[in-house]
Amino acid sequence: MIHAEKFRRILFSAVLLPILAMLILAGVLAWQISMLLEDARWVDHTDEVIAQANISLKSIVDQDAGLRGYLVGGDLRFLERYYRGQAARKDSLSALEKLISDNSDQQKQLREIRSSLNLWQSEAERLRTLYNTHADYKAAFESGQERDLLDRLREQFTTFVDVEDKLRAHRNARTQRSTRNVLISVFGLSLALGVLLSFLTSRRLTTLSTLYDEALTTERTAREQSEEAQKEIAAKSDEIHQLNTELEQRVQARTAELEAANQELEAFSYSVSHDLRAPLRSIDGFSQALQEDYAGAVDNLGKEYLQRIRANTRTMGDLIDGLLQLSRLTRSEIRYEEVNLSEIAQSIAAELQRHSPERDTRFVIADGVLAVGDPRLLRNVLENLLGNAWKFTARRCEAEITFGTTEEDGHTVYFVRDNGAGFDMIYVNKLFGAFQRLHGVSEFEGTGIGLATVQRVIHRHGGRIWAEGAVNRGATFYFTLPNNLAANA
Amino acid sequence: MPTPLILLVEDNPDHEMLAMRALKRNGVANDVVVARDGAEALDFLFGAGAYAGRDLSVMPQVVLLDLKLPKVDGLEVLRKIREGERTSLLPVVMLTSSDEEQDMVRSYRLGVNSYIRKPVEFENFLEATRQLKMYWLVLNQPPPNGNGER
Repeated sequence: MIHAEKFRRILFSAVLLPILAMLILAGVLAWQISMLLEDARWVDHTDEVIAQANISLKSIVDQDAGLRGYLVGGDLRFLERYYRGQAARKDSLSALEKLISDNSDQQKQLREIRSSLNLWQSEAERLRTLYNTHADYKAAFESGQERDLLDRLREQFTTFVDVEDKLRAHRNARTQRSTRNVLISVFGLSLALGVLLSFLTSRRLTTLSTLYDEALTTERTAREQSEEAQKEIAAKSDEIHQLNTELEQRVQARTAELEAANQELEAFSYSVSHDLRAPLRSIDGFSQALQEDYAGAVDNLGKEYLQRIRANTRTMGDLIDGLLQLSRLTRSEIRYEEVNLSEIAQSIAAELQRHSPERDTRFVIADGVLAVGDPRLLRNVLENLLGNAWKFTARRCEAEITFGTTEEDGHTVYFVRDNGAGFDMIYVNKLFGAFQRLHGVSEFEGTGIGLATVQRVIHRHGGRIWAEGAVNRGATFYFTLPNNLAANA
Repeated sequence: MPTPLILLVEDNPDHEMLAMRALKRNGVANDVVVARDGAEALDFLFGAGAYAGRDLSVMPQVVLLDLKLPKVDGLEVLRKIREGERTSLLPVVMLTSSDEEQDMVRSYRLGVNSYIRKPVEFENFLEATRQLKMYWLVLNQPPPNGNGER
């Protein structure tokens, strides 16, 4: 695992080390070269001293030459030369003094030269003075004292210069040595540094390249893994697609099966409605024929038998109708429309009253109750509920049947209420079962299918239905319809 | 003037007997021709088979037709009646126990004049028949036949 930090650090040091080494080398070199320059300067210095000494000597010699020339012919030009030499001698000697300020031995020597010089100078002056006074300068001159003194000066200068020469040679040698040192150290240090650097750098570079390789490998591995993962994902997604397709196919197959089953059911119901009803009609028809055409031949018991036959035929017909309707409702498609339940309830109420005008039952129907659902099926629901209410209030005077809405948890709840026979709440769970009846046929007619049908319709709309009631105090049937647009007027 | 006629097409002998009884009680019995299946009905109307050579100017005033018939079913008979030149204007009443909406729609599409569901209670049927007879035989003006004669 590679850390970018570590990589950067190593890279940094790999670059920094050579720079550092170079700086060190440069430093060492600079120091050595400065030393070398110093040595060279001392050599130059020595040269300067020698040069100056020679100038001094020359100027003294000039002086001497001037003096002699003057002494010979009295030419003033030679005297000028003598004085010029003197001036030059003074200058250069003071310069020389400055130059040898570092060397005490040479200073001593110079002092001696000065004293010799003074001696010579005074002798020279004596000679000049002698000449000027026309004294016997020749004898003094030829005594050679001046010459001796000059020679002495010459010797002293020579010694002086010799010393300087030796010094020079010594310093030169030192310079040579310094140069050699510089070269050696340059070479040596460079070599050493080079080796060290290459060693260190190569190590770092190796580390770097290893790290880089690692990184590459890691990345490659990661990439391979991700490719693997992607392949897996692709494979899995293919699987999922396949499963989906299979599922779709299965769903389609199942739907086809269901449709086939539905169609079978439909065909079955269709034939039921014809084939079962046909013999029923015959039974009822011939029973009545018997009742009417042979009324005389049949006694009261016989008439009662016939009556029961006909009543049962009617019941059977109702059962068939009920069953057919129930089965049809599970098959039919719901057409969702806005339905005015108030209008439907009112028309059903009117119908019921028209059929039995002797009844004085009061209908209280709320206005403008709207819902969304299949108009036919919802009409069926209200026919059943209102029909039931009508049926079970038959024996109640001042019967009242109400249709309206109420609110529960922000949802609209529709209800049909009557104050008729009611039912015992302990049987509430049986209410909506097919063929379940809570009253005997003798009390109230009915096949017991109506509420099962109503429940089926409500459930198909996605709603709920429930009931409350009490014996002889009436019943209320509540139901909800989702997507309702009920607007209370 | 030819005597008023009813063509009853009914395959069920029980229902036929009951229907005849009902019609008899209303005084129409001897003017009923009964066909027991669709083919026989068409034979009668178009003068074929057992009715070959029949006087085709004598047409029923109303045809009481059941939907479910052997050989040729009610809808097909209705179609043929409407297609036939002599028969296209015949009043046809579909009498059937089916309350399937599609049957009704198909019948009306093919041009049935009336569609009546056979009720289980025979009294209603009797009443219905009586009403039918009153309406179709007494009240209704039959369409002229092809010759323009009544």
